[in-house]
Amino acid sequence: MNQNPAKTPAIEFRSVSKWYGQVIGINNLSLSLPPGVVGLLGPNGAGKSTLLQLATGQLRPSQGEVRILGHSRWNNPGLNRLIGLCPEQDAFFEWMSGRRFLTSCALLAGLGRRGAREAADRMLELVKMTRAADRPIAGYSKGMRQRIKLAQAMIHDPEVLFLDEPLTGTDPVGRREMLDLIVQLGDRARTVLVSSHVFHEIQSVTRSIVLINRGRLVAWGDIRQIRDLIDKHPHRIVLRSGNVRELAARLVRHDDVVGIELRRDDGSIIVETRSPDRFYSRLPELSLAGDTPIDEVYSDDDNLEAVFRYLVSA
Amino acid sequence: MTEPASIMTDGPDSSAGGLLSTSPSLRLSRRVPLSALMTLLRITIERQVRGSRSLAFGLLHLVPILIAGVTHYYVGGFDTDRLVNLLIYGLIPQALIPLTALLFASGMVNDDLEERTLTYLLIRPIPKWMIYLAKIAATILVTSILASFSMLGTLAAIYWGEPNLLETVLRTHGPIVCATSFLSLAAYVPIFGALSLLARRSLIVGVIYVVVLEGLLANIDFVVRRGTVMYWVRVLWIDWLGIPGGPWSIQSKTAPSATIALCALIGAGLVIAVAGSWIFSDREFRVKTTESS
Repeated sequence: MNQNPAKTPAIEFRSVSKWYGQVIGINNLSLSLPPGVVGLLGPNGAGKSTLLQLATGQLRPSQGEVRILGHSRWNNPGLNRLIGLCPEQDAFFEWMSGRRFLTSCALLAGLGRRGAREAADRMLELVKMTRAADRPIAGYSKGMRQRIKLAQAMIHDPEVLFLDEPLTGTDPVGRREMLDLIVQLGDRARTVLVSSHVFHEIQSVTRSIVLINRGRLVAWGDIRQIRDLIDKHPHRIVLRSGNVRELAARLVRHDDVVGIELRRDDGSIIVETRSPDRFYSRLPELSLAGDTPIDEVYSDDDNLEAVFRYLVSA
Repeated sequence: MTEPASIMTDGPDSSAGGLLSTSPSLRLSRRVPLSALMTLLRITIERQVRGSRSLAFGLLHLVPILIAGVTHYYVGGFDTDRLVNLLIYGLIPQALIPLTALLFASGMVNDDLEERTLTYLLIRPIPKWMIYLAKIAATILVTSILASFSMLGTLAAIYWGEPNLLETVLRTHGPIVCATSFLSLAAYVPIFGALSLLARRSLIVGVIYVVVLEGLLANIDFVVRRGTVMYWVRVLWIDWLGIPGGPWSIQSKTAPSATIALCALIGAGLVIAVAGSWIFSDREFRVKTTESS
């Protein structure tokens, strides 16, 4: 049935804008994603959920077009056989048990009665919820609810999976299991678009990211390449010292240091430099100077959060 | 992603859709399995009967039964016909049934929207118009059961101890008033369902509709009353039960036939349900998330 999977983008936004009255949710966004796991990153209010609601056909673009697997998205219910959504909202048919909820979702997705029961059992096993399957959802913990929500998204084995903040409320073990599951889905040539505002979550499942802020596409591609591209921006390095004032006074003399921020609470300073290599090579000398011992050095840029911060402020 | 990373500051991504073919790779099936529709129907019914609204209306529908029971046993000079006119042809069809339809129909979409469970229905391969019609069908079913319970219970309380109790409740009056209740609900539910999609304060508008149109205009001998559900239900009562239409200013000889009344009720229900399903199909439902809120 799959005629040409390599050439058709799984998810495609063509100059898409979405307005809510005077408020812009998505602003002239174009994007084309092939199969694999992609992280959708942005702070709260960036437009991630709007983007996912457009991609899943819940919202109609005010302008432009959204295509999934080559099909137009709005008012195309047949396409829902091929997509799954794990919504952000913590909402369920609370009176149902986990098993019944999944069976109902499978039936709604078009599976037959027997197929729905089997799919529900399979998913319960996959998200490790078999033991609690017959308890009402209303009594589930947040983590259990997240697992069931993820299971309903996968119940009909969709080609494209949209996960909106899927790890919210999960315990560390559950989080690891879900992350492994997402990686597995990507390995099976499924397209998985995972949204999050917590960058290390995404970093552990994919190197491919889409960064959005205020409804605009800020950057997209491989995180390492993005890092390379932003090297021209100042790096932030945290220094902890018993004499931060003197340390700051010495650092500010160097032309590669473009900014210094004093943190009053923990005796550290954040230095912004355009030349991290030169800066690091100078530190031993500074620390040995006697009156400015440096107790701790670490880069504030070692995570996606820093990358994101640079990009959105650029 | 195969494309190189890029930093966007403004404007569209020029590579989007550039080298990649955009022709659909998978053929889509439009078939909607019956099991999916039945599940949708079941979920809507379960939601309707589980809410506190259903409990409240269950209790409300006990009121005419209690009135009939109390009157029967404690009021001297008990007049069966008067009580039937007051409750079976008055309170229940003119107040309880439309108000029940209003409350249940206005909640059939809004409840899912407020509880943010509508997403689970909208992301399934079921056309939106089918979702809406399934909700209409489920609501008519639930409200009809409530109305039948009320009608039959009240009839039983009125005729309790009478020799014709079973005959009246099960064979003559009972089935007919239940059938007319169902027909009126088949018109009311689509009306109030569509109203909930169109008006922000649908409950207030609905109450005004019930009071002004069904309560007031339906009783005035003027052409406008042909636009009310109550008028056509009364035409059916006159024809099927042989009761006089005088109290409602409907002359038996000049009144429309039962067939026309049936067509009016069912036709109006269908047309408004289809219009509602079209509105529902065309509308986008933005589910509030942490991000959006």
